[in-house]
Amino acid sequence: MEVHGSLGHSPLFAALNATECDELSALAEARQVAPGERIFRAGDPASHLFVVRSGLVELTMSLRVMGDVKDVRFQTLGPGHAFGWSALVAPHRLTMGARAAEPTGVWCFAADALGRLFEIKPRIGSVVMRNLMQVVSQRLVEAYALWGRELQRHVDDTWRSEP
Amino acid sequence: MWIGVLIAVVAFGLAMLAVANLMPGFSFTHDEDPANKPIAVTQDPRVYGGHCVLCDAPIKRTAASSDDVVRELEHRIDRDTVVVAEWMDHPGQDPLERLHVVN
Repeated sequence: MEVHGSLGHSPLFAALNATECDELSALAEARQVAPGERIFRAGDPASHLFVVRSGLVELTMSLRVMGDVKDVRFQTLGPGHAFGWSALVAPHRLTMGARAAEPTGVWCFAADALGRLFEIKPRIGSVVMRNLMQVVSQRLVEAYALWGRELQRHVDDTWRSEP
Repeated sequence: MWIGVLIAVVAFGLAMLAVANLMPGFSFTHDEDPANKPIAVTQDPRVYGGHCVLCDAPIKRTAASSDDVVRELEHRIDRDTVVVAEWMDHPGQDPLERLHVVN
């Protein structure tokens, strides 16, 4: 199973050496997801961290539209990108849903197994958590920016200064 | 005594007239207060004209189905995400305020 190469390309595992990647690879479980298949939904307990191996994963949020509850795509992730990182951070509750946009392969890491590895190998834990902070920070900046634009639009649409 | 009653009735009538004369002025002041003005909703055709304000793609304001609405929401998120990604690639050249200038 060629896990090592895929993990090395993931921003979450950047700066780990080959031995450390091998130790992480031993925890990885490959899973194939069919197009449109839901990987998890927002609000579920987060028990696994995922890394896209091939294909595309869509992060979604649920909205009530015309009486139906629909999943709206918020972001699309390609190979190497991690998702489901809520598994590593309390309160371990998934903040968004995820589904496959096409035939997709993912690596799954059980959060408790990762936690045990981080305790035995603190450097791996330190590197992964530092990389995770970058991923979370970037998502936060994106979310704030999108939210800011939407608020600005609301202000422009609702209130207008007198000519 | 009748003169006293007459004076009282006239005084009451004058007082009522004075209050009635003050009312328009009070109403005018009340209406002029910005806090009491009705909210002005834009009539900008770009907003309600059936086209995307970002890329001018046609938009169905009367959606046939919830899937239509989802497609348009995703289109809007995609367009905004491109702007945000461009800003994140060049944070020094584009100040944060640029993000909020939407059209």
